[in-house]
Amino acid sequence: MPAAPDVVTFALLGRRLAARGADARLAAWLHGAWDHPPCSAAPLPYEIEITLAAAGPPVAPAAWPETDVAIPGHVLRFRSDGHRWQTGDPAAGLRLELHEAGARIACWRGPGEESPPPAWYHGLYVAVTEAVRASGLVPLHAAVASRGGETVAWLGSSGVGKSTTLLFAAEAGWRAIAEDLCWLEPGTLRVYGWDRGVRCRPETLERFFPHFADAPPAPDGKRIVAYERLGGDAAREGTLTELVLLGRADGGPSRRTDVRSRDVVRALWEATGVPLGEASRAVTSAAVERLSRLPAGRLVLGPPPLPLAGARGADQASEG
Amino acid sequence: MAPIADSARFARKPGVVETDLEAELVLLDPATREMFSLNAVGRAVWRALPGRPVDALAGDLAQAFDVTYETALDDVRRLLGELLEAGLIAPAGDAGRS
Repeated sequence: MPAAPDVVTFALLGRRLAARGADARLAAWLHGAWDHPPCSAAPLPYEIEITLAAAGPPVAPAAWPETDVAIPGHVLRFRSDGHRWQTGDPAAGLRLELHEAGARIACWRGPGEESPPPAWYHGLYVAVTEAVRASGLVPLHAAVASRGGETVAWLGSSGVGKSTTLLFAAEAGWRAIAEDLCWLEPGTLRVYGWDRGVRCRPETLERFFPHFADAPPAPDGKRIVAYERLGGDAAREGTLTELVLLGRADGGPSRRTDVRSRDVVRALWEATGVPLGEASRAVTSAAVERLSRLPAGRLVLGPPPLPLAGARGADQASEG
Repeated sequence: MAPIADSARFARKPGVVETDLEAELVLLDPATREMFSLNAVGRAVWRALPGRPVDALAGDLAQAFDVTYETALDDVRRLLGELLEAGLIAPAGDAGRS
Protein backbone atom coordinates (compact mmCIF):
# COMPACT_ATOMS: atom_id res chain seq x y z
CA MET A 1 0.00 0.00 0.00
CA PRO A 2 1.51 3.38 -0.99
CA ALA A 3 2.23 5.84 1.77
CA ALA A 4 -0.11 8.75 2.36
CA PRO A 5 0.00 11.82 4.56
CA ASP A 6 -0.91 10.90 8.10
CA VAL A 7 -3.57 13.58 8.22
CA VAL A 8 -5.63 14.59 5.22
CA THR A 9 -7.40 17.87 5.83
CA PHE A 10 -9.31 20.34 3.71
CA ALA A 11 -12.27 22.72 3.80
CA LEU A 12 -15.63 21.27 2.83
CA LEU A 13 -18.40 23.82 2.21
CA GLY A 14 -17.11 25.99 5.04
CA ARG A 15 -16.67 23.01 7.35
CA ARG A 16 -13.43 21.13 7.98
CA LEU A 17 -12.71 17.54 7.13
CA ALA A 18 -9.74 15.81 8.76
CA ALA A 19 -8.85 12.19 8.15
CA ARG A 20 -6.26 10.48 10.32
CA GLY A 21 -4.53 7.25 9.43
CA ALA A 22 -5.75 7.43 5.84
CA ASP A 23 -3.81 5.34 3.37
CA ALA A 24 -3.22 6.58 -0.17
CA ARG A 25 -6.38 4.99 -1.51
CA LEU A 26 -8.61 6.57 1.09
CA ALA A 27 -6.83 9.92 0.74
CA ALA A 28 -7.42 9.87 -3.02
CA TRP A 29 -11.07 8.96 -2.54
CA LEU A 30 -11.61 11.77 -0.03
CA HIS A 31 -10.05 14.36 -2.31
CA GLY A 32 -12.00 13.08 -5.31
CA ALA A 33 -15.37 12.99 -3.59
CA TRP A 34 -15.21 15.86 -1.14
CA ASP A 35 -12.32 18.27 -1.79
CA HIS A 36 -13.85 20.95 -3.98
CA PRO A 37 -12.70 24.49 -4.66
CA PRO A 38 -13.65 27.10 -2.09
CA CYS A 39 -17.16 28.49 -2.19
CA SER A 40 -18.86 31.31 -0.34
CA ALA A 41 -20.64 29.03 2.14
CA ALA A 42 -20.47 30.69 5.55
CA PRO A 43 -17.62 29.22 7.62
CA LEU A 44 -18.78 27.07 10.49
CA PRO A 45 -16.67 25.65 13.33
CA TYR A 46 -17.69 22.12 12.50
CA GLU A 47 -15.25 19.27 11.96
CA ILE A 48 -15.82 15.95 10.30
CA GLU A 49 -13.17 13.70 11.80
CA ILE A 50 -12.41 10.44 10.04
CA THR A 51 -10.11 7.80 11.46
CA LEU A 52 -8.96 4.63 9.78
CA ALA A 53 -7.87 1.73 11.95
CA ALA A 54 -7.29 -1.99 11.58
CA ALA A 55 -10.11 -2.85 13.92
CA GLY A 56 -13.40 -1.23 14.66
CA PRO A 57 -15.37 -0.53 17.80
CA PRO A 58 -17.43 -3.31 19.30
CA VAL A 59 -20.04 -4.68 16.97
CA ALA A 60 -23.26 -2.70 17.04
CA PRO A 61 -25.65 -4.32 19.49
CA ALA A 62 -28.28 -6.43 17.85
CA ALA A 63 -30.81 -4.34 19.75
CA TRP A 64 -30.00 -1.35 17.58
CA PRO A 65 -32.75 -1.17 14.96
CA GLU A 66 -31.74 -1.74 11.38
CA THR A 67 -32.32 0.86 8.74
CA ASP A 68 -31.72 0.51 5.02
CA VAL A 69 -30.26 3.41 3.07
CA ALA A 70 -30.81 3.38 -0.67
CA ILE A 71 -28.26 5.09 -2.86
CA PRO A 72 -28.15 4.73 -6.64
CA GLY A 73 -27.59 1.07 -7.38
CA HIS A 74 -27.07 -0.01 -3.77
CA VAL A 75 -28.87 -0.52 -0.49
CA LEU A 76 -26.76 -0.23 2.66
CA ARG A 77 -27.87 -1.63 5.98
CA PHE A 78 -27.07 0.39 9.09
CA ARG A 79 -27.75 -0.33 12.73
CA SER A 80 -28.44 2.70 14.88
CA ASP A 81 -29.36 3.73 18.39
CA GLY A 82 -30.44 7.14 17.12
CA HIS A 83 -27.07 8.79 17.76
CA ARG A 84 -24.65 6.30 16.26
CA TRP A 85 -24.89 4.53 12.95
CA GLN A 86 -22.82 1.50 12.06
CA THR A 87 -22.50 -0.52 8.89
CA GLY A 88 -20.21 -3.29 7.69
CA ASP A 89 -18.73 -6.27 9.48
CA PRO A 90 -15.62 -7.01 11.54
CA ALA A 91 -13.50 -7.06 8.38
CA ALA A 92 -14.53 -3.65 7.05
CA GLY A 93 -17.02 -1.13 8.29
CA LEU A 94 -17.58 2.23 9.87
CA ARG A 95 -19.39 3.93 12.69
CA LEU A 96 -20.70 7.49 12.55
CA GLU A 97 -21.25 9.53 15.69
CA LEU A 98 -22.69 13.01 15.61
CA HIS A 99 -22.07 15.63 18.26
CA GLU A 100 -22.75 19.32 18.56
CA ALA A 101 -19.58 20.63 16.94
CA GLY A 102 -18.93 17.93 14.44
CA ALA A 103 -18.97 14.28 13.51
CA ARG A 104 -16.67 11.35 14.09
CA ILE A 105 -16.46 8.57 11.55
CA ALA A 106 -14.45 5.59 12.75
CA CYS A 107 -13.55 3.36 9.81
CA TRP A 108 -11.84 0.01 9.93
CA ARG A 109 -10.38 -2.42 7.50
CA GLY A 110 -8.68 -5.56 8.65
CA PRO A 111 -5.12 -6.41 7.53
CA GLY A 112 -6.49 -8.64 4.81
CA GLU A 113 -8.72 -5.92 3.45
CA GLU A 114 -6.30 -4.15 1.10
CA SER A 115 -9.15 -3.53 -1.31
CA PRO A 116 -12.32 -2.87 0.64
CA PRO A 117 -15.56 -3.67 -1.10
CA PRO A 118 -17.34 -0.83 -2.91
CA ALA A 119 -19.98 -0.90 -0.17
CA TRP A 120 -17.33 0.37 2.25
CA TYR A 121 -16.87 3.53 0.18
CA HIS A 122 -20.64 3.84 -0.31
CA GLY A 123 -21.03 3.67 3.47
CA LEU A 124 -18.37 6.32 3.93
CA TYR A 125 -20.09 8.54 1.39
CA VAL A 126 -23.39 8.19 3.25
CA ALA A 127 -21.67 8.93 6.57
CA VAL A 128 -19.93 12.09 5.33
CA THR A 129 -23.16 13.21 3.67
CA GLU A 130 -25.02 12.72 6.94
CA ALA A 131 -22.35 14.70 8.78
CA VAL A 132 -22.66 17.60 6.34
CA ARG A 133 -26.44 17.40 6.64
CA ALA A 134 -26.18 17.54 10.43
CA SER A 135 -24.12 20.73 10.06
CA GLY A 136 -27.09 22.38 8.34
CA LEU A 137 -26.68 21.83 4.60
CA VAL A 138 -28.96 19.73 2.44
CA PRO A 139 -27.93 17.85 -0.70
CA LEU A 140 -30.15 18.50 -3.68
CA HIS A 141 -29.99 16.28 -6.74
CA ALA A 142 -30.99 18.64 -9.51
CA ALA A 143 -29.71 20.44 -12.54
CA VAL A 144 -29.42 24.12 -11.67
CA ALA A 145 -28.76 27.18 -13.80
CA SER A 146 -29.06 30.90 -13.41
CA ARG A 147 -30.02 33.73 -15.71
CA GLY A 148 -31.20 37.30 -15.29
CA GLY A 149 -31.65 37.15 -11.55
CA GLU A 150 -33.45 33.82 -11.47
CA THR A 151 -32.02 30.46 -10.54
CA VAL A 152 -33.97 27.38 -11.57
CA ALA A 153 -33.60 23.82 -10.27
CA TRP A 154 -34.75 21.13 -12.69
CA LEU A 155 -35.73 18.03 -10.71
CA GLY A 156 -36.24 14.51 -11.89
CA SER A 157 -35.11 10.93 -11.56
CA SER A 158 -31.90 9.68 -13.07
CA GLY A 159 -32.09 9.54 -16.85
CA VAL A 160 -35.06 11.88 -17.24
CA GLY A 161 -32.98 14.58 -18.93
CA LYS A 162 -31.44 16.87 -16.32
CA SER A 163 -28.06 17.02 -18.05
CA THR A 164 -29.57 17.59 -21.48
CA THR A 165 -31.79 20.34 -20.12
CA LEU A 166 -28.79 21.98 -18.49
CA LEU A 167 -26.81 21.88 -21.73
CA PHE A 168 -29.73 23.41 -23.66
CA ALA A 169 -29.98 26.09 -20.99
CA ALA A 170 -26.26 26.82 -21.20
CA GLU A 171 -26.55 27.10 -24.99
CA ALA A 172 -29.33 29.66 -24.42
CA GLY A 173 -27.11 31.77 -22.20
CA TRP A 174 -27.93 30.40 -18.76
CA ARG A 175 -25.04 29.99 -16.30
CA ALA A 176 -24.68 26.33 -15.37
CA ILE A 177 -24.43 25.70 -11.63
CA ALA A 178 -25.01 21.97 -11.27
CA GLU A 179 -25.77 19.01 -13.46
CA ASP A 180 -26.89 16.59 -10.78
CA LEU A 181 -25.85 17.64 -7.30
CA CYS A 182 -25.63 20.84 -5.32
CA TRP A 183 -25.67 21.65 -1.60
CA LEU A 184 -28.38 23.92 -0.29
CA GLU A 185 -28.38 26.39 2.61
CA PRO A 186 -32.02 26.09 3.68
CA GLY A 187 -32.17 29.50 5.33
CA THR A 188 -31.06 31.41 2.27
CA LEU A 189 -31.87 28.92 -0.53
CA ARG A 190 -28.28 29.45 -1.68
CA VAL A 191 -27.00 26.48 -3.68
CA TYR A 192 -23.43 25.43 -4.37
CA GLY A 193 -22.77 23.29 -7.43
CA TRP A 194 -20.98 20.11 -6.45
CA ASP A 195 -20.36 18.02 -9.53
CA ARG A 196 -17.14 18.37 -11.51
CA GLY A 197 -18.61 18.40 -15.00
CA VAL A 198 -21.78 17.73 -16.96
CA ARG A 199 -22.16 14.01 -17.57
CA CYS A 200 -24.10 13.25 -20.71
CA ARG A 201 -24.66 10.25 -22.93
CA PRO A 202 -22.46 10.26 -26.06
CA GLU A 203 -25.46 9.89 -28.37
CA THR A 204 -27.10 12.96 -26.82
CA LEU A 205 -23.96 15.00 -27.39
CA GLU A 206 -23.65 13.81 -30.98
CA ARG A 207 -27.29 14.59 -31.70
CA PHE A 208 -27.74 17.96 -30.01
CA PHE A 209 -24.29 19.21 -28.99
CA PRO A 210 -21.77 17.87 -31.52
CA HIS A 211 -19.26 20.51 -30.50
CA PHE A 212 -18.99 18.70 -27.16
CA ALA A 213 -18.76 15.19 -28.62
CA ASP A 214 -15.02 15.14 -27.94
CA ALA A 215 -15.58 15.48 -24.17
CA PRO A 216 -13.62 12.89 -22.18
CA PRO A 217 -15.37 9.68 -21.15
CA ALA A 218 -16.48 8.86 -17.62
CA PRO A 219 -16.20 5.35 -16.14
CA ASP A 220 -19.93 4.79 -16.69
CA GLY A 221 -19.69 5.38 -20.44
CA LYS A 222 -21.06 8.90 -20.34
CA ARG A 223 -18.96 11.87 -21.34
CA ILE A 224 -18.01 14.74 -19.06
CA VAL A 225 -18.32 18.26 -20.42
CA ALA A 226 -16.23 20.62 -18.31
CA TYR A 227 -18.12 23.59 -16.92
CA GLU A 228 -15.44 25.87 -18.36
CA ARG A 229 -16.63 24.90 -21.85
CA LEU A 230 -20.14 26.15 -21.08
CA GLY A 231 -19.03 29.75 -20.72
CA GLY A 232 -20.13 32.16 -18.03
CA ASP A 233 -18.21 32.97 -14.90
CA ALA A 234 -16.60 30.38 -12.71
CA ALA A 235 -18.81 30.83 -9.64
CA ARG A 236 -21.16 27.89 -9.55
CA GLU A 237 -23.52 29.31 -6.96
CA GLY A 238 -26.94 30.88 -6.96
CA THR A 239 -30.06 31.52 -4.90
CA LEU A 240 -32.99 29.34 -5.96
CA THR A 241 -36.06 31.14 -7.26
CA GLU A 242 -38.00 28.41 -9.08
CA LEU A 243 -38.44 24.64 -9.29
CA VAL A 244 -39.24 22.72 -12.45
CA LEU A 245 -40.11 19.02 -12.44
CA LEU A 246 -38.91 17.22 -15.54
CA GLY A 247 -40.99 14.59 -17.30
CA ARG A 248 -40.89 12.77 -20.60
CA ALA A 249 -43.23 13.75 -23.44
CA ASP A 250 -45.47 11.08 -24.90
CA GLY A 251 -44.54 11.97 -28.48
CA GLY A 252 -45.72 15.56 -28.19
CA PRO A 253 -43.71 18.76 -28.15
CA SER A 254 -41.73 20.06 -25.24
CA ARG A 255 -44.05 22.14 -23.07
CA ARG A 256 -44.62 23.66 -19.66
CA THR A 257 -47.53 22.49 -17.52
CA ASP A 258 -48.78 23.06 -14.01
CA VAL A 259 -47.76 20.78 -11.19
CA ARG A 260 -49.48 19.75 -7.96
CA SER A 261 -47.94 20.70 -4.63
CA ARG A 262 -47.72 17.10 -3.50
CA ASP A 263 -45.81 16.18 -6.67
CA VAL A 264 -43.34 18.95 -5.87
CA VAL A 265 -42.99 17.60 -2.33
CA ARG A 266 -42.34 14.07 -3.58
CA ALA A 267 -39.78 15.31 -6.11
CA LEU A 268 -38.03 17.34 -3.43
CA TRP A 269 -37.76 14.43 -0.99
CA GLU A 270 -36.42 12.28 -3.81
CA ALA A 271 -33.94 15.03 -4.68
CA THR A 272 -32.75 15.54 -1.11
CA GLY A 273 -32.88 11.95 0.05
CA VAL A 274 -34.05 11.04 3.52
CA PRO A 275 -31.41 11.55 6.23
CA LEU A 276 -30.42 8.97 8.81
CA GLY A 277 -30.95 11.05 11.94
CA GLU A 278 -33.83 12.98 13.42
CA ALA A 279 -31.90 16.27 13.60
CA SER A 280 -30.82 16.23 9.98
CA ARG A 281 -34.29 14.99 9.04
CA ALA A 282 -35.74 18.11 10.64
CA VAL A 283 -33.29 20.29 8.71
CA THR A 284 -34.24 18.57 5.47
CA SER A 285 -37.94 18.77 6.25
CA ALA A 286 -37.66 22.53 6.82
CA ALA A 287 -35.75 22.85 3.55
CA VAL A 288 -38.40 20.90 1.64
CA GLU A 289 -41.14 23.07 3.12
CA ARG A 290 -39.31 26.25 2.18
CA LEU A 291 -38.54 25.02 -1.34
CA SER A 292 -42.15 23.90 -1.78
CA ARG A 293 -43.24 27.52 -1.55
CA LEU A 294 -41.17 28.58 -4.57
CA PRO A 295 -42.92 28.99 -7.92
CA ALA A 296 -43.00 25.56 -9.52
CA GLY A 297 -44.02 23.98 -12.78
CA ARG A 298 -43.43 20.93 -14.92
CA LEU A 299 -41.35 20.77 -18.09
CA VAL A 300 -42.40 17.93 -20.35
CA LEU A 301 -39.35 17.07 -22.42
CA GLY A 302 -39.84 16.41 -26.09
CA PRO A 303 -37.93 17.62 -29.11
CA PRO A 304 -36.19 21.00 -28.80
CA PRO A 305 -36.67 23.88 -28.43
CA LEU A 306 -37.26 23.58 -24.71
CA PRO A 307 -39.44 26.20 -23.03
CA LEU A 308 -37.01 27.11 -20.27
CA ALA A 309 -38.90 30.25 -19.30
CA GLY A 310 -38.57 30.98 -15.64
CA ALA A 311 -41.21 32.53 -13.46
CA ARG A 312 -39.83 35.97 -14.18
CA GLY A 313 -38.65 35.64 -17.74
CA ALA A 314 -39.29 34.08 -21.10
CA ASP A 315 -36.90 32.52 -23.50
CA GLN A 316 -36.53 29.42 -25.58
CA ALA A 317 -33.49 27.24 -25.96
CA SER A 318 -33.02 26.51 -29.60
CA GLU A 319 -31.60 23.35 -31.02
CA GLY A 320 -27.81 23.30 -30.88
CA MET B 1 -60.88 -4.08 6.96
CA ALA B 2 -62.12 -4.72 10.51
CA PRO B 3 -64.09 -1.92 12.17
CA ILE B 4 -62.02 0.45 14.24
CA ALA B 5 -62.95 0.25 17.91
CA ASP B 6 -63.59 3.44 19.88
CA SER B 7 -60.90 2.45 22.36
CA ALA B 8 -58.27 1.62 19.72
CA ARG B 9 -55.02 3.56 19.75
CA PHE B 10 -52.67 4.06 16.84
CA ALA B 11 -49.09 5.16 16.37
CA ARG B 12 -47.43 6.87 13.44
CA LYS B 13 -45.04 4.67 11.51
CA PRO B 14 -41.46 5.66 12.39
CA GLY B 15 -39.60 7.37 9.58
CA VAL B 16 -42.62 8.96 7.92
CA VAL B 17 -41.64 12.49 6.92
CA GLU B 18 -43.98 15.46 7.07
CA THR B 19 -44.03 18.51 4.85
CA ASP B 20 -46.21 21.36 6.04
CA LEU B 21 -47.60 23.34 3.11
CA GLU B 22 -49.96 25.30 5.39
CA ALA B 23 -53.02 24.41 3.33
CA GLU B 24 -52.15 20.73 3.59
CA LEU B 25 -49.80 18.45 5.47
CA VAL B 26 -48.10 15.98 3.16
CA LEU B 27 -46.93 12.66 4.61
CA LEU B 28 -44.38 10.52 2.82
CA ASP B 29 -43.12 7.08 3.78
CA PRO B 30 -39.64 6.93 2.27
CA ALA B 31 -39.61 3.14 2.47
CA THR B 32 -42.68 2.64 0.31
CA ARG B 33 -42.92 6.07 -1.38
CA GLU B 34 -46.53 6.13 -0.19
CA MET B 35 -47.85 9.69 0.03
CA PHE B 36 -50.83 11.10 1.83
CA SER B 37 -52.18 14.61 1.93
CA LEU B 38 -54.03 15.81 5.04
CA ASN B 39 -56.39 18.77 5.27
CA ALA B 40 -56.93 20.74 8.46
CA VAL B 41 -59.04 18.00 10.04
CA GLY B 42 -56.57 15.29 9.06
CA ARG B 43 -53.69 17.38 10.35
CA ALA B 44 -55.40 17.75 13.74
CA VAL B 45 -55.92 14.00 14.02
CA TRP B 46 -52.36 13.21 12.88
CA ARG B 47 -50.87 15.63 15.39
CA ALA B 48 -53.02 14.26 18.25
CA LEU B 49 -52.59 10.63 17.28
CA PRO B 50 -49.90 9.32 19.63
CA GLY B 51 -51.52 7.96 22.75
CA ARG B 52 -55.09 9.12 22.09
CA PRO B 53 -57.87 6.55 21.65
CA VAL B 54 -60.29 6.93 18.76
CA ASP B 55 -63.16 8.25 20.88
CA ALA B 56 -60.92 10.92 22.42
CA LEU B 57 -59.71 11.95 18.98
CA ALA B 58 -63.33 12.31 17.87
CA GLY B 59 -64.11 14.38 20.96
CA ASP B 60 -61.17 16.68 20.24
CA LEU B 61 -62.29 17.06 16.66
CA ALA B 62 -65.93 17.77 17.53
CA GLN B 63 -64.82 20.54 19.83
CA ALA B 64 -62.22 22.05 17.53
CA PHE B 65 -64.32 22.03 14.36
CA ASP B 66 -67.79 22.53 15.84
CA VAL B 67 -69.33 19.33 14.49
CA THR B 68 -71.30 16.61 16.24
CA TYR B 69 -69.43 13.83 17.99
CA GLU B 70 -70.96 11.27 15.62
CA THR B 71 -69.78 13.17 12.56
CA ALA B 72 -66.32 13.55 14.05
CA LEU B 73 -66.18 9.85 14.92
CA ASP B 74 -67.07 8.91 11.34
CA ASP B 75 -64.36 11.23 10.03
CA VAL B 76 -61.75 9.88 12.42
CA ARG B 77 -62.56 6.25 11.61
CA ARG B 78 -62.46 6.93 7.86
CA LEU B 79 -59.16 8.79 8.08
CA LEU B 80 -57.54 6.16 10.31
CA GLY B 81 -58.72 3.45 7.95
CA GLU B 82 -57.08 5.22 5.03
CA LEU B 83 -53.86 5.82 6.96
CA LEU B 84 -53.80 2.17 8.02
CA GLU B 85 -54.28 1.08 4.43
CA ALA B 86 -51.46 3.38 3.35
CA GLY B 87 -49.22 1.87 6.04
CA LEU B 88 -48.60 5.24 7.65
CA ILE B 89 -49.97 4.21 11.04
CA ALA B 90 -50.27 0.96 12.96
CA PRO B 91 -52.11 -0.15 16.07
CA ALA B 92 -50.19 1.23 19.04
CA GLY B 93 -47.41 -1.16 19.90
CA ASP B 94 -47.17 -2.48 16.36
CA ALA B 95 -45.78 0.60 14.59
CA GLY B 96 -42.65 -0.18 12.65
CA ARG B 97 -42.97 -3.94 13.02
CA SER B 98 -44.10 -4.63 9.49
